[in-house]
Amino acid sequence: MGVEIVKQEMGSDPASVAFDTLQSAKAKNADVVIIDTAGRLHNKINLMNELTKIKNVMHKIIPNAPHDVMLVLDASTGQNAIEQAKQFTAATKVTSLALTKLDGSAKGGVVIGISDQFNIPVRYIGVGEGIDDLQLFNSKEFVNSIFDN
Amino acid sequence: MFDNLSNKLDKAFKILKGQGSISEINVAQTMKEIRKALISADVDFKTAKEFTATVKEKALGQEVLTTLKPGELLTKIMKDELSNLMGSEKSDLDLSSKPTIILVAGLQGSGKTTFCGKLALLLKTKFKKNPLLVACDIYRPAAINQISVLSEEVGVSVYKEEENKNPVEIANNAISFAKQNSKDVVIIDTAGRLAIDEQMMNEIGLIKDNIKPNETLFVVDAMTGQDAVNTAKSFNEKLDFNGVVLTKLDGDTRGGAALTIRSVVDKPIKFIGTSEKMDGLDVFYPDRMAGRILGMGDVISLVERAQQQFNEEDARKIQKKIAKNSFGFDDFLSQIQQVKKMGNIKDLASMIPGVGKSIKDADIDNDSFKGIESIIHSMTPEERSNPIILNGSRKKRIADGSGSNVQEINQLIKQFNQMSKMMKMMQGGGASKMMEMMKGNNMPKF
Repeated sequence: MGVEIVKQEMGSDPASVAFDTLQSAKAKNADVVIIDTAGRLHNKINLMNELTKIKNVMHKIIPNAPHDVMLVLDASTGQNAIEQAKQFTAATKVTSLALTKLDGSAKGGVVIGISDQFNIPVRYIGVGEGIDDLQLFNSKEFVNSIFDN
Repeated sequence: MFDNLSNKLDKAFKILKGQGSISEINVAQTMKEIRKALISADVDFKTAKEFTATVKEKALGQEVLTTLKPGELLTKIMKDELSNLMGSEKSDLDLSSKPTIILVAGLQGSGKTTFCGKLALLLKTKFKKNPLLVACDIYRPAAINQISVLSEEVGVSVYKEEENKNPVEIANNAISFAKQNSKDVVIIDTAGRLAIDEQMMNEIGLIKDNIKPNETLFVVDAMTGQDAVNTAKSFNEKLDFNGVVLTKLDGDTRGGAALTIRSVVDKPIKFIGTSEKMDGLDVFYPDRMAGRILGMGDVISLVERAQQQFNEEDARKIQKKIAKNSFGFDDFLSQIQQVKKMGNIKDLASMIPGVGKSIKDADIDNDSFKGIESIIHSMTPEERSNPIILNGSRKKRIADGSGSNVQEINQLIKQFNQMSKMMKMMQGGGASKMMEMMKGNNMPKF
């Protein structure tokens, strides 16, 4: 892809990786920083606290960072996604959603409820494993696909 | 979500309350509520419909025993039926062939690689086997790396060919390698694939036809929603798998997908994944899963355990003390010890319906009473039986003695006072008031 990456050894403190990343981004004048975190179940309090910490450490370097907190949801997830959204929002104030694996047979209808209940827009959808299989979310197309057979 | 289901069932059973037997009329509304509850637990709608129809048929005309209310009877029928559907007997792996070949398949992100590592550890430690892990996921970046790291963690060797892009060939080579190196179980981890990706589904079919595994396991995320039907069907058509592995059950999903899969493809659930750690693999208990889907918790075990541990004699003594208003810290301490005797707090908490899984992982450990105990242990007998005398300097002494601080002691005294107050309320026939106070829990009241 030709995009620079900041990483540390396995087992490092993720908040400190985020901190370093922002520092180096600032030094190098990067205009977008994407921070990928480990997957976690929303009912593991310690892991959710870790996420809050990762988020909180960022504004020490850039005052209102992160500017976007994206929750990635798997289209095949059922009703539990609502609880996920609730807990992740409580931990990090999620500001947008990405719905992945929409190229499968799952329709991801649960995001309608999530988007409505938590007032978070769906921004992107993943439609394949290729690096360019990311599309902007289009609500009309999404609704149509739910009623398609 | 949890309360949601309990509430729905609660509502459903209210209709049945006070009825002598289960009839067509009083059961219809209840069944509708149950069907809704099942669907919100991610059970496929057709499966839910069939299920409620069966339960209704079994329930109709049943005389309600004197000790049971219709709602309770129906719950029992429902839970039995659900356990039945999930498979009444345990289903083990067939490890008789040498080497035994296990093929692991599923969607992306369902937890196949983690499961392979866990299975290898289980086979190695419990079954005294010498397993070989095989990295057949040639697509996902870092897949080979992940299985290598896991294999190191569990101390099992891994077979990989980083340059080879043909999974059939890798699998075949791995089996020859296993035979030469006296490995008795070969666990083949494959790439995640979507059920509608024809090319990828053909590939896994080809792997299966070539290696002729003794066990083919379908790994599925317990959080899966309505799509579980399609996925399970497609994988079953292609692979005719022998068993299902349900992962991520340490989350708080109700796991209705388990019921869907079971009823759609009629294959047993062989394992469940219960943590990210390598020893987080369990055999599947149908009745527990039934309780989880229904959100009932394991009330019976909880009551049984409480009965075993709570000494009636002690209880009577405490009651007397409360009546005489002489309930002190010593009694508080013995209460705590009784609760501890009942076992792991987390286990206990998860048995309570409605409360169940929501606090199961809330990181309550058995040490949570330690601070309280050490504070009480630092008090003099006089202070314990007559807490009113606890003044500033006494508190300071207790704080020093127990390694805590005055705030913590104040907090404990506050808790203690609340508890004594509550107990007095119960004594005064105010049990219903107490229930009011605890109502936040939304326990089903059958």
